[in-house]
Amino acid sequence: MIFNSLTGKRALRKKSKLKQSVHQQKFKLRSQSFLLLLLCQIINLLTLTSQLAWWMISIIVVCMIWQLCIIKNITQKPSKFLIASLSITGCILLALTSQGLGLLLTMLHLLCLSYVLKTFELNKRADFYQLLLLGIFVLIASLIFQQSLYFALIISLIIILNFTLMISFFAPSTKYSYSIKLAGKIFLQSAPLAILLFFVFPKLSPLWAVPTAKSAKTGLSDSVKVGDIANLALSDELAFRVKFDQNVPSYSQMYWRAIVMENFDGQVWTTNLNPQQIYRYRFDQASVKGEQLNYQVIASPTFQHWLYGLDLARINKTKTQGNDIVHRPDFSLYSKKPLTQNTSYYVNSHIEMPLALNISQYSYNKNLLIPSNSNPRLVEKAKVLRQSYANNTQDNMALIKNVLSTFNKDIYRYTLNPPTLLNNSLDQFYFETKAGFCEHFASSFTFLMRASGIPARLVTGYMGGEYNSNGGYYSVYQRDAHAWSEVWLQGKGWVRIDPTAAINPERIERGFSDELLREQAESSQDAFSLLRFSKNSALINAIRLQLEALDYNWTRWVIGYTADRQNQFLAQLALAFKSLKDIDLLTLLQNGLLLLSAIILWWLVRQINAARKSHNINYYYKKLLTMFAKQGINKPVDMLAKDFVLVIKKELPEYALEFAKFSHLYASLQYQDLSEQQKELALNAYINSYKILIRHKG
Amino acid sequence: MNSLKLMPSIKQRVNLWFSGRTKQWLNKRIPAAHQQQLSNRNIFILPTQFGYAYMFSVFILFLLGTNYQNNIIILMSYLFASVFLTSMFYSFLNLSRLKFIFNSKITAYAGQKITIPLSVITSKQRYGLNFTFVKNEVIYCSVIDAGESLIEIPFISLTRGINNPGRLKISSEYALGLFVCWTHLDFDCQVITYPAKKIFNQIKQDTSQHHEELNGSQIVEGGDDFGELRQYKQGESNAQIAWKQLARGQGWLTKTTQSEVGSTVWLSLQQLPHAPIETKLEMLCFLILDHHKSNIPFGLDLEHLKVEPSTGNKHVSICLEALAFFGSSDLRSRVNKSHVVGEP
Repeated sequence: MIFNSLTGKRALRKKSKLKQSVHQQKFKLRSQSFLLLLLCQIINLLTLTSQLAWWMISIIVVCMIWQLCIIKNITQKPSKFLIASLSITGCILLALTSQGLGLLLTMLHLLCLSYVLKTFELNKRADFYQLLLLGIFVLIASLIFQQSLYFALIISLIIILNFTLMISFFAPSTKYSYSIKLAGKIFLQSAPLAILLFFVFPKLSPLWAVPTAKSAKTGLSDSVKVGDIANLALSDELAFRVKFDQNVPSYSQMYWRAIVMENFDGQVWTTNLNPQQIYRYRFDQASVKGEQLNYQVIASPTFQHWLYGLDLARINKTKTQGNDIVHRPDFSLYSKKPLTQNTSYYVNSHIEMPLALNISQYSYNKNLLIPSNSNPRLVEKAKVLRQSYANNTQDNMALIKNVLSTFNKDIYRYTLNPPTLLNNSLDQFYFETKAGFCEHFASSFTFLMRASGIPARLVTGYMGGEYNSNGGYYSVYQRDAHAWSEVWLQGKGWVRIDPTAAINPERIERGFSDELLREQAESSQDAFSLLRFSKNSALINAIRLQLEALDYNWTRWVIGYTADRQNQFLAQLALAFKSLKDIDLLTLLQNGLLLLSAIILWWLVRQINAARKSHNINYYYKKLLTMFAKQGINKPVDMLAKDFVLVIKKELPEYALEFAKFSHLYASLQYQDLSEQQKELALNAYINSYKILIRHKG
Repeated sequence: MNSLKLMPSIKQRVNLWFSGRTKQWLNKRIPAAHQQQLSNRNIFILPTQFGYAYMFSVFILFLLGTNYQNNIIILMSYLFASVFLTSMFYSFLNLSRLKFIFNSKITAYAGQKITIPLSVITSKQRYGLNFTFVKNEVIYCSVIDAGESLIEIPFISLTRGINNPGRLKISSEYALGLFVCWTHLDFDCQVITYPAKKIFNQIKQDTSQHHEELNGSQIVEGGDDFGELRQYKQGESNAQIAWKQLARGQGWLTKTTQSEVGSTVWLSLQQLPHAPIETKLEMLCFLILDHHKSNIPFGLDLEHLKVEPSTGNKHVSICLEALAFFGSSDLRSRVNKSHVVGEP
């Protein structure tokens, strides 16, 4: 009896015995998993490459190639001594370069070094776990430096890849396609909760100070010499975005002031970086008058302090978070912390308000200073000009008009590719080459004003902006960088004079002319920017604007989602619910009930369908069993369906073939995950098979 | 010192008390049955060490994001936390609704490594399952396909008698390894354990074999000499089958040896040389198997129970079972009565 049952089992065992193995205590990765691990590591590290020092990158490359060789059995695993010496070398290099890298990058280098070297000592499961977690850290750390929508999407994909690695380790027999699908599924299923948490979970303020990211400064610089802005204008990168509340100024009024430069050494204009001057300034709220423009600015990270605003800009303290943004006495806005990530602030501007009707003698004199021996011909010209005008506001204005009209009348050329000037000489530009970009004109104009006794200074910033109708905001790009002049006139204060308006009025009215655009296209490095392509096709332009609007909303809702914004959002949400409740509680209730009953109905129908199907399956099988029972063959309850087929084969061979088919269909209908179509087919075949069996009996 | 050592330490006592309580609780919560289906009643789930480390890392990421006021990092930390929860469901669903059926009679020799077969029924694929009986080898199944399949779990039954392998632990760290999901199932599986299989060549020649002469025929020692062929009866030793004749198409025949002809052997406990009782049983076990191999009919004479002389697999298993149950109170009720001769 015992032996019989065992031999019976043995037959079954041959059929469907599972692949099983005695659990291995020693940790070992399959070479395929190992390849995936390496791929993951390389991609995780790639996200940080722009931040890593060259020696770190070379260590990473060497280690990765080494690992590949180990997998391909070309080399042996390195000795412990070698690994130790490699890590010590890395640490020494890190200590040597840490001064330049700054604390944050030093820590990151350490992280990357351990991430790379840990791979050589994968001896336990715990080592593998550590490696996985280190990888996540490396990956997420890259978000400190970049937060754009696209980068975040790429990071999400890499996270899925990391999950795939985990799945391929914990369910090793699965195919990669399955692992990736599962990882994606888990990721997507987790996303709703994460998003909910993000919007609802209270935002905390920083718990302690952390080292800030250091990076190459971009955008406007705090010193300008001729040619600088023309270079900046080649870049299509985003500088900042602006969303106006109601009133929108005309294009030619959009002078986004950033830096005011009052010091000139003959070649370079610089701004006053004296901290006393930077911080100690307060607006006289009472003096505010005229029409007010309200807008929000979201500035891209520049790793500098300068912010942008229309004249006369005042920070809206109630809406803007933090106290990091201050006013400077020259009416520019300044962030105490460098802009390491997208920064949002709210501004109120009064375009018509005069800037500083009274200035100190010190300031007056300072804005008249010109270095001796610089640009003698311009000085000479100023002296000649001065002779025909008296020193009062009206005559000064006439003098200014005169100078501007020479720009207009003479054959001056507005170009992105001006001829090179010797020692940045303004004389050479004004009298000989006569071709330049905005800073050439602004710079020589300011110089001329100072030489003729009118206080003047150079202002850099951005001009204009591109309206995105999808998002209802203006984008200002680096190519919109601009320079203009301010002269101080008695009774008018600082007056903005833009010499570019005289030479190239189109730029001030609408932006770059076709010729400038062509010049830009020829000399720009980012040849593949979407902005460039969109010039030729309306469709591409529409797509670009849509993508940018998406990025804008990402910046507004995700990157710029501050504690204040969260409170606002939640309050709005609560209000919406409240108003819903107040207005039609009854209809809401009715709709809710309707929806609920619909869901319940749907669920019931599904359940009943499923039950009927499974019932049908069991029903036919049971009917056949009773038929066999009448013929004297009983199926013991604990006998497997497969075994019963063997019994039938022996006892009622005429049924055997059909019953085997029937039994197989029964099993697959009962236990397999079939698609709807497959189920339908199988069910039909099953019932057919049943009919044949019953008929056989008759 | 010595007296102290004899007393169980407080720690041991506490452990003993705890394991007793857990056993009681488990018996109540997951009662023994031949058929078991996994559900939230009998599945346990907790984060693994890696899971705790993962959550700690996620917390660090959250701090990083908060300190840098970097919303993307905060969002990602929420996402990782959310994945933690999702993977809990995946772990649970990987085990849930898995059905096990145990329906075999298991026999083993003491100390022999056997496998306990278990039918697994599932409607979808399952991944990365570990199966183990306490203090036995762990079996790892990387994938179980939909349908019915069989899994064999190793077990070593150490002592003679009826042994219960205890609860089967089924565990999985499937999906991301953040959670371990496990269960302890009792299949009410009883392993009938025969005495250990050992070789006692010296008693083979000994007089312990108590021969009864029938019809005055001669007893031939050994029994390797070829005798005659007769019709095969189911259950006879494979070694005795006349394979040559079978191959020639003459049907199933059994080779009989001369020793079988006309002689019956009684294997008796009393006749064995002086030894501890367990050793004696092991000797009997050896003799039974030896006689079965040579296809010599034999009877078994235990003190309270006699098994009629016969041959075949069935007879052998009855005799071995009698050895397995020897000494237990329900010996007679356990062994198939029809083959047992009355009490001496």
